[in-house]
Amino acid sequence: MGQTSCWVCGGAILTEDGFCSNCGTQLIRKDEKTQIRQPVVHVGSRTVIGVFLTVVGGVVGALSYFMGIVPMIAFGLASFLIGIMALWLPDSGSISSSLLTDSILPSLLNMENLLQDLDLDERGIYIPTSGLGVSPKVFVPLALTPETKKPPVGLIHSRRIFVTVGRKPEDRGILLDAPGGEILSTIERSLRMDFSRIPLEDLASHLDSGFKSLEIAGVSSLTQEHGRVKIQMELKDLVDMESRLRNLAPRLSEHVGTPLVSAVAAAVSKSARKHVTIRSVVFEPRDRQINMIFNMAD
Amino acid sequence: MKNVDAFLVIYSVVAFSTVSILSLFEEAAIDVYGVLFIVEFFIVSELAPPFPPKQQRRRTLIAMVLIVIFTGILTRRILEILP
Repeated sequence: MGQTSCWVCGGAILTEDGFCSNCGTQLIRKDEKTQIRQPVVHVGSRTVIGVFLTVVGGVVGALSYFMGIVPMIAFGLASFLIGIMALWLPDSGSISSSLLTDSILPSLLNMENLLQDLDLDERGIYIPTSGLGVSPKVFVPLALTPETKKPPVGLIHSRRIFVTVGRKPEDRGILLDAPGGEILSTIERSLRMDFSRIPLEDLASHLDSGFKSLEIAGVSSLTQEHGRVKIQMELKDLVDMESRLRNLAPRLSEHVGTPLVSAVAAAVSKSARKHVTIRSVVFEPRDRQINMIFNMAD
Repeated sequence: MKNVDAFLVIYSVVAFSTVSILSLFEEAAIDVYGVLFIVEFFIVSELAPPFPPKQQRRRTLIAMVLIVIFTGILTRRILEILP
């Protein structure tokens, strides 16, 4: 019988029931695989086509084999193969982008309100990190001081929100998980690639491949000059979320970045191994393009 | 169009084109068709847009099965050539 501690109250819990005996929090570990039964195939147009091709391919292939007509056997084989692939390769199971936006918006608005209430006008600084699936954190300083300009890399392990990086009262700020941290983590895991190990020059192609595999965007270009990185992206999805976030959470969008921009900023920070801030982000909904400029600390 | 659908459409076009073209040459060995289907699978996999992680894992499984079949065909041909 395994036992571990609750990461909410620190009390002892039993891993079998998954609930903390002290505070009652349900604890589902990230590495545990959920036991939700999923159907092998969804009844959709692809399933119908897959069944049709498999059956037709099997029948045509078998009959042609007995009649000895090789091209028809090949036709049956091709149909069978494509039919099996259509059935075996699952639907991506993506939720509609509007539902995604509705789900994510309240938490981002909370961050916006936090930034507003604390009157944080400085831009968030992405702290570089390394490791597959590990995403940089964002430090939003109260004021720009020599200490807060380059917050220590060790902050990445901190679980606190309000942190002090120097001795003076103004050397404070808030430490946030990057809004696009999980996107970056998913991209790294799907590519099986730690971005901190690839040079910045190669980042564009890897990011492009990663975003395309998630079917949300593509990276058109990445240029680097004088400590600045310019990236142009073309959105395939999430246009609505980008537009709404810019209207509803302007401070967050400008200083920390929307999830997509944040994921790119985090990737740049990891790849360059430097502290990164967002200089400007211009979104053109008609062309579905985002032009981003990031500043890298020396 | 989703990435998987794009892959299936491209692969279908390529595979059925192969059947049409080779039938014009009156190719009589089913092995040749099989090997070409397998090679085309890998080419289209590289050229088509990348898959999401879950679909990528399943495509890898298909690729492994196809490699086993390819190895079988190749081994058979080599044994035929050897004295």
